[in-house]
Formats: sequence, C-alpha cells, structure tokens
Amino acid sequence: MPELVRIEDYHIPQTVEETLELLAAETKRGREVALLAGGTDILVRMREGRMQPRVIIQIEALDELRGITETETSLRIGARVTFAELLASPLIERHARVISLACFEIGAPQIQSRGTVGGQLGTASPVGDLIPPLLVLDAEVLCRSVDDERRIPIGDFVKGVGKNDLRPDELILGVEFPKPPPGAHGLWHKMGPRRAQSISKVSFAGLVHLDKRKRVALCRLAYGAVAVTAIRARETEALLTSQALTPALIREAQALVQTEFSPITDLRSTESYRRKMCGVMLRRGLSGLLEQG
Amino acid sequence: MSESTRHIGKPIPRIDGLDKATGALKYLSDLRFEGTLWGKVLRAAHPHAMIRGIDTSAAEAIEGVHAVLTHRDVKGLNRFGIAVPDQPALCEDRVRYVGDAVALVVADTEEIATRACAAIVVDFRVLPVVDDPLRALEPGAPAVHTDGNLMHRNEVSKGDIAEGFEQSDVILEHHFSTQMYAHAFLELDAGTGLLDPGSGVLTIWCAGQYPYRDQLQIARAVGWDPEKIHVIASPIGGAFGGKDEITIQIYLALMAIAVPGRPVKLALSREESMEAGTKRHPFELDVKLGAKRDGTFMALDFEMVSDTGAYASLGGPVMNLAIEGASGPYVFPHTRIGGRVAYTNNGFSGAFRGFGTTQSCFAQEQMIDMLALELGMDPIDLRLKNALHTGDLSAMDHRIWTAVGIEETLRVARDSRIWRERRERQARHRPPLFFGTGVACEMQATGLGKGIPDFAGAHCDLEPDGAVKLRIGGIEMGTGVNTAYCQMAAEILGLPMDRMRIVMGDTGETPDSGTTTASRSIYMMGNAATLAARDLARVMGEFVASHWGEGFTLRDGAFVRDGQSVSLIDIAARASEMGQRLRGEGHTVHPEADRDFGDGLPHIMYAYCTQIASVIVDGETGEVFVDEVLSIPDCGRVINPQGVEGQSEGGVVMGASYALLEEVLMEGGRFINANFTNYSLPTAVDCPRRIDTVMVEVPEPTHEWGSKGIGETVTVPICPAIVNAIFDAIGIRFFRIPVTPERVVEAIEANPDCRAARAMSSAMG
Ligand SMILES: Cc1cc2nc3c(=O)[nH]c(=O)nc-3n(C[C@H](O)[C@H](O)[C@H](O)COP(=O)(O)OP(=O)(O)OC[C@H]3O[C@@H](n4cnc5c(N)ncnc54)[C@H](O)[C@@H]3O)c2cc1C
Repeated sequence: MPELVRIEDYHIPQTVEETLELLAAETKRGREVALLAGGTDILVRMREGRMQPRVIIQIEALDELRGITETETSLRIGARVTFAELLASPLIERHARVISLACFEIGAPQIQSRGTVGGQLGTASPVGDLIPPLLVLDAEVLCRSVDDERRIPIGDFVKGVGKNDLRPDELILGVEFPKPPPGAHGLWHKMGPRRAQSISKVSFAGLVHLDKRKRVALCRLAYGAVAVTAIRARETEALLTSQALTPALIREAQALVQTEFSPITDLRSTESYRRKMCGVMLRRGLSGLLEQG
Repeated sequence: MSESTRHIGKPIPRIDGLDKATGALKYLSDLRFEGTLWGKVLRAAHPHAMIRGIDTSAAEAIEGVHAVLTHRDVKGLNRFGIAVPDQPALCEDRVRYVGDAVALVVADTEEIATRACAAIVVDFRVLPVVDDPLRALEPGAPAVHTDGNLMHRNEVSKGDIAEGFEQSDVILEHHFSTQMYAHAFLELDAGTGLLDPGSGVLTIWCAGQYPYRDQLQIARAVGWDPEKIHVIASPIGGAFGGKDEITIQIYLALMAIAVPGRPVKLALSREESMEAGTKRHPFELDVKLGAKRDGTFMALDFEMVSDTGAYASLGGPVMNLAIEGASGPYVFPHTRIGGRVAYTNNGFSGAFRGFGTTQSCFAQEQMIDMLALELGMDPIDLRLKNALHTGDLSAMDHRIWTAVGIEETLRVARDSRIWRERRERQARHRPPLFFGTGVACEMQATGLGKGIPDFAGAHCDLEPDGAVKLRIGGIEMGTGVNTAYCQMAAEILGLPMDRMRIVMGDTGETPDSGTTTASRSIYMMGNAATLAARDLARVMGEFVASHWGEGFTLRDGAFVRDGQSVSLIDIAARASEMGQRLRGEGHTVHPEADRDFGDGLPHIMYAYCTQIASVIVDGETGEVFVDEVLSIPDCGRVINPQGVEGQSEGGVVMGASYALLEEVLMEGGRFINANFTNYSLPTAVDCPRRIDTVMVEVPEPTHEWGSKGIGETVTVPICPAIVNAIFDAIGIRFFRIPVTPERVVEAIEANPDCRAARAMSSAMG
C-alpha cells in the first residue's frame, strides 16, 4: 500500500458559486484539489497512489447539478446524476435508450448508485462505458469557472488515457445533447472478462436511424477500449450513411470497422480479438435492426 | 440406511448461518482490542536479490514507532514450511520472491507503520530471475536455492509400461498446461498477537487450517515454548488451502514479543495477500494413454513439471497427489507416472482444494474423452468399462479395500436428463451458438497418506446448564462441518440441535484434531466427535448409576428407567454440586494402505465424483456459457444434504472459473493482476445457469456413520468436463486453461475444418 497523503482541507460547498470560488482560490494557491462526486474512481486512485490530493471538495450537496431536464430539442443531464438515476429516468429511456443500455452494464447496483456522469467525464477513461453513448448522441460537456463558461463537444473533451480538456478551476455542470430523431435506434454491446462488474475489453454504442425504405438516414458509431479515448468510427459511418441497409452492406461495414482502429494487446484482451469484436458487435447490432423490420 | 435418524442425513440449518448472515459473527480479523498497535511488513522489492544491508535507523526515529524488527531480532530458527522449513520468516541475506518479508514495524497507527516501512533502507543486489519452471531445471539456470532448482522428483509404476503400449491398439499422446490460480478467499490475512508479560503466554488470533501446527511453526521460528503459545484459528472466512501454510502468524508473534502487553494487529491488503501467499501450482503435463480396441485401458504414462515458486511449502505433496490422482478412478494394468517440482522466483505455491489432482485430472479426463472419440464409444460407457472397484489394484499397484462409488456415480450420470438430451439440445442450436456436453470423473485422495501421522481428537463436555459442548481442534472455514459434528453428537445423545455447542480450532480449548485439509474433516473429526459423544454417554451413564441407581438407559436426551427420568440438566446440576466435570473423549487414527511407496503415498481412501457440464459457445465472440451442471459426488453416507449441496455448488463454480476465467499473471517474477480489479472472479451472473447435485451414498465401512469427505472432489472434474463440452460443441480441444474467449476465437480461426468453423461459414455463405 502506498503511503497515504494527509488531506489538509475537506470542503462541502452548498452552491455551484461557492464551489467555483473554492476552485479558483485553490488553483491560485497551487494545492492539488480533487472534486469528489460518487468517489468510485477517485478513492481507487488515491488508494493506489495515482492521485494525491491535498484538498477535497465534495459536491454531494450541489442540487444544481442533479436533474435530467428537457427542452423542445435537447436533453440535459446534470453532472451529479448517477447511473441509477439515468436507469430510472423515463426521459432517458424515451430519447436516449443507448444511455440506459450502457448504464445497466456499468459495474453493479452499488456502483450504479454512486457513480456519476461528472465522475465519468472527470476520469476520462478509455473504458468509461458512458462515453461511447455520449459520443453517438453528439453531446456537449458544459463547464464553468468563476469567469468563464464553455461548451465542449464530447469528442474534444476526452483527450487521452485519463486526460480531458477540463481546466483546474473548472467544474463540469453536465452534458447536453440534441434529441435524436424519433425512431432512431440505440445500439449497445459491452464485452469484458466477465458478465457483470467488469471492465470493458471492447464496448460499442450506435445511434442509427433508418428511413421508411431501410436507408440509413443517420449513423453514428463509437467504440470504447480500442484507442486512447472512446472514439467514433467515422469511416464506417460514412460507408453506411445514405445507403440501403442490406446484409451485404452490413458485412462490408463489419470488415471495414475491424481496420479502423489500432487497439493494443494488454492484460484484458488482444489486439486481434478487439478488432474482430468491433466488427461482430456492429454486425449484430445492425442485423438486429434489419430483423426488427 | 433404513434406520430412522433424528439429525443424520437431514438438511439441518447451519448453526452459524444466522450470525454469519447478519454479521453478528466476528471473524478473527474483525477483532479489535483496547490499546492495539499496528504492524506492517516490509516485503522484498525484487523477485530475486541479495541483501547487503538493512538500515532501520530512520524508521526507528519516526514518532509513534514502537519497534522495527529484522532477522537480527529473531531468536528461533527464523524458518517456516509445512513439509520442509525452508522459508525465512524475515530474510537474512537473500530474497527469492516479491512477497518475501524483510522487516516488520510496530507503530501507533497503520499509517505510521506504513511510513516507517518506507523509511527502512535495504541495500539489494539484484540477481537474475528464473520465471519458467522448465528453464529452471535446465543446467545453468539461476539457482533459487544453493542445492539447485529441483525441489522434488517422484515416480510410481505398475506392470511393464513398454509392454502395456505394445499391447495397445490405440495410443494417444498430448501435452497440457495449467495456470497459476489464486485462492481469492474473501477474508484477507489479518490477526492480532499479544504477549501477556505476567504469564509469558503469547496469544495469536489468526485464521489457520491447523492451529496446533501453527503453534509449532511459531515456536520453532521465534524460539518460544510451544506450551506458552495459544493459537486461536477458527472461524475462517474462506481458505481453500490458502491458510494451510503459515501466513502472518509468525510476524504477529515477533511483533507481540517486541511490545509485551500491547496487542499488535496486522492486516494485509488484497495485493499483499496475493503476492505473499500460496497459489495453485502451474503444471506442464505430458500424457500417453494406450487402450485396446474394445476400450480396455492398457497403459498410462504421465510426466509432469510443476512450478512451486520460491519455497517448498507443500510443493512435494501436491506433486505426489497429482501422481496418485493421475490415473483417475480407473484400472490400468501398466503405468508409469512421474513428476518434478521446480523452484522459481514466481511467488510460492502450495495447498489448494484439489491438491495436484486438479491438474492431472484436467489432462487425463481429456485423454479419455479423446480415446472415446477415437474408439467410437460413449464416453460414459468407456469410463464404466474401466471403472475402479473395491478390491482392485490402483494405478500405483496397491489394493483399495475401502468403499469405491465411482461406478454408481457414472450410472447416475448415464441415466441423467442432461446426458440423455444432449444430442437433441445440440441440434436445436444454430450458428454462431454451439451447444456441447462433457463429462469427467475424479478420484481425490483423502486423509494425509501412508506414514504421515493422521489422527483426530474430540472432547464432548456436559456443560453446567445441561447443554453439550463439542471441542474439536479442526477449524470451520465455511464448509459447515461444525453443524455436521453437532448433528453426529446430537444423534448419539438424542438431543435437539439447540442443546449443542461447539468450540473449534483453539489450542487452549480444544484437543489436537490434525489439519482441516485433505477432505479429512467429516471422516476424521466426525469419527472423533461421534466417539466422544458415545464416551460422554458412557461417562454420564456411570454417573447416573452411582447417583440414581442402576438400570437407566439413555433415550431422547434423558436417562430413563420405568417411568423415572433423569435429564442432562439434572446430571449437570449434580455434577456441578460435586465439582465434577463430565467429559467424553474420542480419538481416531486414519486407516492406512498395506503398501508404502514413501513420501506419504499411497492413500487408502478416496472421494469419487462424476460431473457433467453443458455449455453454449458463441463461435464468433468465443464466449463460453456454462449452461447446466450435474454434480455427482460419492459421499458415503450424507450427514447434511444442504452442506453437501453447498460444497458441490461452490466447488462447481470454483472449478468452472479455473477452466474459463481466472489466471494469476506474472512477468519476470512480478505479479501483474494482484487485485480484484484485474484478477477477475466469477460474479453471480457468471455462474452456471443451473447446478444440480445428486449424492451417491456408498457407505464407507470404516466410518462411524459410513461417511467421507467431498470438499475437494466436487471442484475437480468440472474443469475437464467443461473443456470436453467445449470440444463437443465446436470440435476443438483446449490443452491449456483458462479457455478464454480470445483463445476460442483464435482456435476456431486456426482450425477452419472444425465443427464450428464449418457451420459458421456455411451459415454465412
Ligand atoms: C467496482 C467498480 C466497477 C466499475 N465499473 C464500471 C463500469 O462497468 N463502467 C464504467 O464506465 N465505469 C466503471 N467504474 C468506474 C466509475 O464508477 C465511473 O467512472 C464513474 O462514472 C465515476 O463517477 P464518480 O462520481 O464515482 O467519480 P469520482 O470518483 O467522484 O470522481 C472521478 C473524477 O472525476 C472528477 N469529477 C467528478 N465530478 C466532477 C465534476 N462535476 N466536475 C469536474 N470534475 C469532476 C473527480 O475530481 C475525479 O477526478 C467502476 C468503478 C468501480 C470501483
């Protein structure tokens, strides 16, 4: 066990304003600060000595970061929303089923009740299971500091293994994305070393809309665990978009997507297996749509 | 078995079930005493290195540190090891694996102890690492110990192996490999030590599978009078063999001696426990099997190498049991079975449920499956044809005169729904899903073996309130033996279960009952408990005769004589008045084989088990789902069917995970996946969809109730049964476990002619 670092200050701010001021002040002082949401990543990393914050800001009390809300055209999810809350939300089920499908397979009920959207983005892991769904939904990450507010497309926000675009004085408020066209299908498939409570070897999210004539009107595909960040399969999307979805086209897409990324071999899986599963997951997802009629 | 019983054979709820479920039960790792200090172990930073110096001055200077200990502070032998004490408690001049202990710190808090450990400066000179057992045995390999890396070699034979193969019509030859595998017990190694300065008694509260041997190992290592060491080792939150060897008891003793009067607690993290503790030995196995065209087994040749890591522990005996179990429960006229055990810098391996037979059974039961295919025989019929029976000569050439129930288990298997419907169910699956069914058998040596002292004692006391208390030196590690012992004693005494109490695994409270290993508890301690209860009945009978007169008999928990009844409460009250303690004692010794092959071989009693597994393989993703399992142990007479079912289901889950999922990964003597983030254990949804257990009861005549242990055998054949089922499903043999999805996909690609590859390509085209 690495030596534990003494935590010098532990704050429980009541408002976003208060939180932002704390962040600004601490950033000036130069002490390492960590926001604590569900704690399901941060505690693991602190125990392993990969993170040694001197100051903890627990954002449990920030009700402003809590809700799931809709406008005419978009949905917004607060950073403090947990996976369990996403799973229970009829709004998410109706407009962004791909999120529900993914949340169902994140950890197990204990993790689902603690882990949050903000924490997932803060960690920015290539195996974060919520990121591929957010990619295919074209989500934007909403960040705020004392004197700035930014909307960052999720694809730009995640930058590398454990790296994101967040500035030290910024708080993630939540994510926002346009409502997909009615009738668009969410696809999800996750593979890990076991069937629950598992870290993805490969994960796949898709948002596909077929028009009346089975033509692909909208196609966004994203994968986790095959690159340093979760990533869109742009070439394969281009191949499929505007085409009539047929078994032959699906097979072509399967072959193409296997070559689109350069996954690695690590202790969880191999390069060649990951490539192949990218194809199998895509084919199974799309074939399912064809069979649904 | 027609006699009516009150408790025996009944699904009596576990006596500790409620307390475990509610958390009321305190494990030894839960105990916290007033004024406890915290200990910490400084482990080797390298898998192999010389120690040129240890400087503890900076650590000692830290405020809150009470003691920093190195080998210089150890008064005794400073060594432990069940079979050969070759492992340093605190290393002197050399470390041989990353878990080797170099120093101990006692401090006010765990944090301070951790900081002090980091402040100890050890001057290491790194040595070349040997991390491959085959390379370790080659000349010129870096030597882990001064007398070389060959820790043990053994070989048994029967008949004339060359002649056996000459007479064979079919000969198969294959190589197999098995992985390193972790016990992954839930309760981590943790405990407390306390030296009472007044009495000089050193008390150690720490889970261990044999408290009396722990007492001896502590005494020997630290140089303390064993009579002045009190070990409390039960209950245990999971062990599976992983707490057979010393874990932290000696550290607790050394630390407690350094701070008399203060309790010292030590609790390992999961990573530290994984790196420091024993594992299941990885094996390489070469097998050659010969048979007649009609299926008669003629010859079996086995050559094995195991990687025991840095120290001996039970590396020798594990190989011996791999040898003894290699034939499986079959008759072979000609055999030659040998194995070598290599030292390496890969952690250290030792006892693990299945104990070597796990590895040889994995190979052998696939060989038999391949033979059945080659001969066009049903795999169960082939096994039945060669099945061992009481009175037969074993593959080691000793006569087995104890009960053998393998044929009965195979008959149950052959008539089972899962076996009869297997082709029908297979035909219902469409690519890319493939359905297959496999079977395997095992014989698991039970008891400690020829020439190894194998005894058990039990006391049965009448308590002052008229309840009865069993005292047994074995431990309860989750198997439910405590309930079974109480059932046996309650049956003898005619008492309801709620009048029974039991204390286990405490050198101050219980007699020596030997180890809680080798599937020996129900047999040995069950016998001792039964004899003790019977002895208490005799003692009480004599007491009643002298206080109430002659002619009383024990019936339903009271002594009766025409209308007159003396209850145990009456007897207890009278005995208390007189200042007398009424105690029954039971002592038993394990029967032994007529021949002696040395090294504890052979055994005379075996547990037998047949298991069938059906699997669904996804030919595209390589995922294997275990659909149904039928587990058929030969238990002798069942004491508690719920207990057997629990063992059987747990064993199946463990063995299935050995086949498909778990592997301890090492590189250059370092652990890659030492915690549960990356060492994946099965969750509830990874378990087989359905597990059924059918208990075959062929009574063992040398046991008071006709019972024997099944704790290990239920975990062994499931692995080859699954691998055989995978073959049945996709037409590919896996000679290496675990059979991961990556390996399945790779194998299907490499074998375009296999059943799965052909079916999938024709489904596509
Ligand atoms: C047993 C286990 C199983 C798991 N299984 C999965 C799984 O299947 N799939 C998966 O994707 N993940 C899994 N995880 C990882 C984890 O649960 C998720 O990444 C989760 O989203 C983290 O959320 P949290 O609220 O707990 O984050 P925390 O640990 O509280 O925080 C994580 C990081 O985000 C930062 N942060 C949090 N909130 C904000 C904010 N509002 N603004 C700015 N920064 C913020 C923190 O400072 C920290 O750096 C698992 C974790 C565990 C322990």
